[in-house]
Amino acid sequence: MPFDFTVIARNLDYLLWGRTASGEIGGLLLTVAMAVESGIIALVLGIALALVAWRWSGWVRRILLALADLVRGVPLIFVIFWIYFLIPALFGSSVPNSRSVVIALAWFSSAAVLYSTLSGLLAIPRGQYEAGIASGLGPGRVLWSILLPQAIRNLIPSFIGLFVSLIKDTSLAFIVNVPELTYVSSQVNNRTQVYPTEIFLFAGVVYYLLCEGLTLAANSLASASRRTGKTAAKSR
Amino acid sequence: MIRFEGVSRKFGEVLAVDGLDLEVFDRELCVLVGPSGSGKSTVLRMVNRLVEPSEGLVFVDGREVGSLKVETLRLGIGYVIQGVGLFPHLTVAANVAVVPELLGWPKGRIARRVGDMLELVGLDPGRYGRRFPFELSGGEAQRVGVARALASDPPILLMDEPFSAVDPVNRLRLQTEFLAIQRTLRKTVVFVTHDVDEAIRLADRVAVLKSGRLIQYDVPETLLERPNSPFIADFVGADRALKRLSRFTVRDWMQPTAGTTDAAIAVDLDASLRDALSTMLGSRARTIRVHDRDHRPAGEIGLQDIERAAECGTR
Repeated sequence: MPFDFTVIARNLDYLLWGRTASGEIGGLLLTVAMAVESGIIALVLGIALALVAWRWSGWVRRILLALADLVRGVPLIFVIFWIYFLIPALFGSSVPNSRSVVIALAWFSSAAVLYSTLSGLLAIPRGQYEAGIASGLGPGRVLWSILLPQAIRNLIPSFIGLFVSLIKDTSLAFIVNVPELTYVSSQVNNRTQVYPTEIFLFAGVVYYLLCEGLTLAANSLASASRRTGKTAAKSR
Repeated sequence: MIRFEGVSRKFGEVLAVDGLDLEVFDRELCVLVGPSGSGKSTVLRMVNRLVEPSEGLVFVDGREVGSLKVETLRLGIGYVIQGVGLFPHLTVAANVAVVPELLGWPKGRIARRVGDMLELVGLDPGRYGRRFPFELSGGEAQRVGVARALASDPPILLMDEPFSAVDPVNRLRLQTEFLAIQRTLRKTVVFVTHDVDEAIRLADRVAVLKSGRLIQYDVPETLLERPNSPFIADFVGADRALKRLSRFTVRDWMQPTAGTTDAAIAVDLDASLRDALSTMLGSRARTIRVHDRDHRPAGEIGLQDIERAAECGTR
């Protein structure tokens, strides 16, 4: 059976932008927007929680890690369902579905960001903290201007990895009718009926190019920073 | 200046410091030396409250350290550690500027001070200021550590094995340079090392510790001549007469006359008498040439000069 890829060309606008022109963002654009939005929230929230967990190492850290474990121990799709049903219950039904998915993704990813940032902070040699406080800096100041900048530099590859997973995970928004790339692909498929292979192959390739492109960019960034050798491990 | 009164510190069941009474005198360089596990680092770290005593009191300038705001206390105390002391994400200049910036000095004053400090430790500010720590050799990094600790001109300096990670040749050079700096600045210094030679070479006064207890606290000459116990005698070693010679420099005991000595057999003006003796023994010459840094002849030194120094008790 011959493939007919003209179906992609005929629906390309819809696959890429959905109904963005008429005010309802969709397609690949919505996929990217959701990933970026939830990525930023997860990054800020995860780092903030890691700072708190680092600073108060007793029961505060234990509670935060227990919550993170709870989030990580449940399939993402359940978190999406929870938020999807919880948000309307709390705020009425005016919240768009894409919003609740962004919240679910951000919540889920912030747990991962919390874990890697905390371990990044703990991996910095103890002497760095001591040199900081012995210079008269307060613990918060040492954390913010000595430990965090070093940890972030080492964590960039793992953050990129998390972001790549995040892009792929946006496809789960399909389940709550958010018109991102996967959902519009299946709409096009339902409409045209006979081109499922072409359509889903295209969607898969788009995801792949997006993620692989990001990974390549991140790797070249990482090797550039390796060339300048600025890693905490080499510190004196 | 710094006083320990009945200070003990327990880590779990281990008594790291046991009933320490010690006074570090104003503007003196006090070296804490002892085998590993003797508690010397713990003693040092109780001065700037990186460690709190389990019992007893520590005074700085007559004030109990626990009664001071910890950041205020630490701003008045420079701290040099071996290994990871420098901040790898900051340039050399920014590392040195950490404390002045914390004190809110104006930018121009900080920049001048950073330049002065780097020059003081023998690094060209133009060449080194913008480098990152990973671009420095071990000796250079350690110099920057000293510059950073001195940047705000604190009256007290704590140094925890600062030269241990450096190769022997560079260690000797760092020691000589640091002694010269200390002769000018006259800080109250507490210096921790496990190296007896380093202790004897640098100290105004040496405190020998063992299992958390202070065994002997004396000027190096007394420690070498009259060890108060078999432990000290053993610790300073059978070569203690030679160690004493390491406290004298050729400069102070040489003859400024230009003799007929062989120019190929020579020692530096700033070398110790121990090095001079070693050179004599190695070359079988009773008198050898002394030259200055630029290898110009400065005089000569003979075995009789070394004997004279050995008989004289103090430098």
